[in-house]
Amino acid sequence: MTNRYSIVSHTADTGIETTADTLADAIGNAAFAMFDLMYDLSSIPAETAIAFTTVAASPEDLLVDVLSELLLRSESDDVVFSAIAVRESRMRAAVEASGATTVGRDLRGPPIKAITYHELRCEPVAGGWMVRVIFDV
Amino acid sequence: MEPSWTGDYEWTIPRSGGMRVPGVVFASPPLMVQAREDRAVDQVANVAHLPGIVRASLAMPDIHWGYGFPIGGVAATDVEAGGVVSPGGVGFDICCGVRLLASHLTATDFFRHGERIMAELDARIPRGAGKGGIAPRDLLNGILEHGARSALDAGFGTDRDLERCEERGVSVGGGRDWVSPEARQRGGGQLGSLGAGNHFLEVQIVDRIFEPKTAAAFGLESGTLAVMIHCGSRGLGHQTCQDQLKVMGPAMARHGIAVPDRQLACVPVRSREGRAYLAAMATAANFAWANRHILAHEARQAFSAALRTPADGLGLELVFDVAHNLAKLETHVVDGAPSVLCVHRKGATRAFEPGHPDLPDDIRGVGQPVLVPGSMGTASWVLRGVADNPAFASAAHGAGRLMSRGAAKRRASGRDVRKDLERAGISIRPGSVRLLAEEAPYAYKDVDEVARVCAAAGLADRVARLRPIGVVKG
Repeated sequence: MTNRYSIVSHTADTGIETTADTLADAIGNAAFAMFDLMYDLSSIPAETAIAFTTVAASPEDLLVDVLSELLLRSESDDVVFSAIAVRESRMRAAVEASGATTVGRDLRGPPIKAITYHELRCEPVAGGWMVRVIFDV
Repeated sequence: MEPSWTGDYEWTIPRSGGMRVPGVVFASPPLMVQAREDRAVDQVANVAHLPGIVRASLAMPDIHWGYGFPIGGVAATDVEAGGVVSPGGVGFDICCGVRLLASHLTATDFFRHGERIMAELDARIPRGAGKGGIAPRDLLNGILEHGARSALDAGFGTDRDLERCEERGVSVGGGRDWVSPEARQRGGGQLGSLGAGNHFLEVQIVDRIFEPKTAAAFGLESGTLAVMIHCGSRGLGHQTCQDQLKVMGPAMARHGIAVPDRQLACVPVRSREGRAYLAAMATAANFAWANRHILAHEARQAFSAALRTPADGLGLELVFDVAHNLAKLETHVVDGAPSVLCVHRKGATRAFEPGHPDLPDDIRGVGQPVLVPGSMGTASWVLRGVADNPAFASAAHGAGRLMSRGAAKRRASGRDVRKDLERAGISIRPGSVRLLAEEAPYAYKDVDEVARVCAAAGLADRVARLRPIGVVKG
């Protein structure tokens, strides 16, 4: 599943890049990557689900808002999300995510603390959208 | 962006473009070679764009690439001249820091009882992602206002733990209403937990004393055991910074401020948003002071259970607790006149000189302890603040990362790293064996060189070197 994104090398932290046909799918890929860096998502059942919407002023802000909300829900409820669907229209994102508890589950990467704005990109490119985000770990 | 050697272990980045001041990096030639391998030096130049910055954008010898500020970055802004505060100059792990306990126990005690000590620490010190804190959630609101004092009142630690803590364990101005419900929700179950990544609790031996008189004042004696704890404000701090950055982007536009990296978002200290940020930061700092205070208490309980000795008979006394991710309002002399500055230390440690009024009475004469942790298999250092520090009373905060996580993982597996540490006589209790690979000693710079350069550059003098014999890794 890691072919949905590539890792951006960073000395202290970890970044990812991803592309998709739509802004919504690019944000969805980035969200998947965020959890995939921490846990092996291949074996996560859909035991719990959440849904939320968020509105932002720009694609970058929408990306950060969606990722931040997912990270908040994950850490507050000890849940890892393995299936994330994003729909987007006029900078309003509707997010549905499902996953399972993190209790008793091994980390495969350090926990992500936050979404940084450093070198943040969320922009249209030829054939779709690209996202680049550095996570604080 | 080419820094040039300007003497006394100082490298200067001349002003260009929108830089308001030059950049200065304190490093030896080998450390500067490493600093140039990533974008840390560019980040020093970026920080020099902050409104109100005075003297220079500074970087400590352990500088490496961060987000916004470099790790090891120090920037002071003149509060009365429109100087700004930037959450990026503090980071997401607000008030992350280091606590060191000294003891009367010796290496022999560890060789006899080390297995039991490590087993107790392993069982008692929560680590990894998510919840699992030692302290009950209902302590949270009190701690957000009163910091470690509130934890003490709840039965954790001792009075001396406050005396020997920076800010005496309480950042004034914090309180639950300054942080979001989401931040309280995220951090509520994590009070008294290490977290993961580079956070740790280490059992160390005082290996070498450089200044016997100062070491004695700090409570350090050659050959005795010490306990070092590195952690911060957990999810509460991370969420607080994330919340504040969201507010600060639009606020920055209202104040007419532009910066070269959005992570450097900032507002004047003397603005509504600036005051709100400093109060939120103080709230998260109170969580962090209390977090390390509670973990130290639990470490004493672990030693007590392992050695079947009352905790107060172990002499596990606090040497000091320092933050290395904070912004503080401090008075420093600039151009011959005292000025109130907002001093950002992002991966840098405050290092007050001897005689500073904010230091505890019993160590005021020798200067502030500066704790510089190494990396599992390498030494850690205790330095002390000195007069005429050229970096607004700041020094290094650690070895400084050298290698990306991916590169470290490609070099060896977590199991291999564990074997190497055990072969070196270091007992290791990882939260995750796999994650050890990313935190291997070779992923960090030479901490001995960092400590040497701190002394050579006039940032802080070396007091004692400690080496690890037991590691509880987050």
